[in-house]
Amino acid sequence: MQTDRLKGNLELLLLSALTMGPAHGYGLIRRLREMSEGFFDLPEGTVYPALHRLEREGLVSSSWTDEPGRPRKSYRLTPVGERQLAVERVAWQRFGTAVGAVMRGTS
Amino acid sequence: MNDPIATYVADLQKELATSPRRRAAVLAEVEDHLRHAARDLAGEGYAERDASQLAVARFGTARSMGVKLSGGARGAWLVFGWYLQLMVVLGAGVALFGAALLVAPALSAATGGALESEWARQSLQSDISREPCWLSIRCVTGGRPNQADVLLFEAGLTVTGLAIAAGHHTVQRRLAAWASPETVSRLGAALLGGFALLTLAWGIWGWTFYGTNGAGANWVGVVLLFGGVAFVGARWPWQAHEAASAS
Repeated sequence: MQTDRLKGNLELLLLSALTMGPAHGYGLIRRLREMSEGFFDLPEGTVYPALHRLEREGLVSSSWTDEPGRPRKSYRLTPVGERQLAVERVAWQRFGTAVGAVMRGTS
Repeated sequence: MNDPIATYVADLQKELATSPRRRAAVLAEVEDHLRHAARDLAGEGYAERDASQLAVARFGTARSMGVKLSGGARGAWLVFGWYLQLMVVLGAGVALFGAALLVAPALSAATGGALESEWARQSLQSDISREPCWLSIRCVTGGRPNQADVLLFEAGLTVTGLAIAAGHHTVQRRLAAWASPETVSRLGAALLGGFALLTLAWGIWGWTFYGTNGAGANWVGVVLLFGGVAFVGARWPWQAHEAASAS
């Protein structure tokens, strides 16, 4: 159930986490875990394919930085990604409000 | 003692079906992630090797990640891989056919004529022109058990198809480690072109030699049979592979 809930929202979570600034994949996973107080402990294998998909769609861009020891790929939001995030946020809020209204009505 | 992360990256390299440039980038990113995760786990008190193993285990199997990280190229590459294997089956079929033509007369002689070569007595012209064999296997089971060459040919083809089915994933992995989808595509196209020319030449030869008989119908049957066997061979492990990647 938890995995099903995550499926449609992983991209939204990743885009949201990137509003705090550029990050590499591992850093994003940690950031989401900290922001959600441990609730989103994302399966690592799902994050990179999602990031690559977002990159292909032009919602994030990436660059390689030379950090001590090895090169590191870092992701950042693009202007297109920011606009898409704004749209998704509104949609998510409407969805959450609607679900909340139904839940309240049946409790 | 092997480094679990290095081993994993080597395994993942074999599974990635994408261009060499993108493959290198993906591998560098994954290795960076795993080293980082292992370092954090070691900071939590894990022994260095245990930390590396745990980081690898958390990331997902090389096989499933290979599918997920290959991006859109993998779909196209799988099609070309299937296509290439179809060409291999067709080529194997032609070779088997040639072998059957050589073996059938000896088999006929050894069995005292009980298994007589259809092609040796040139019954293609008389039999098939009267009763077209759209699927040539029907000729074997449809009351003419003396087609030793056709029987050998189709048995060999079935064995080839099954062998390719069993080895499909290995074939795909080895191709992925060796060439980009574009290269596999070009190779597949070259093989298809070569086979088409061979078929055309054979058809012209048959037409000239036998006249306008059922040779064309028989070839349609052969191609359908090849295609069917290759499709089943390619499709079954592919589905298993996709299921593994989804888990």
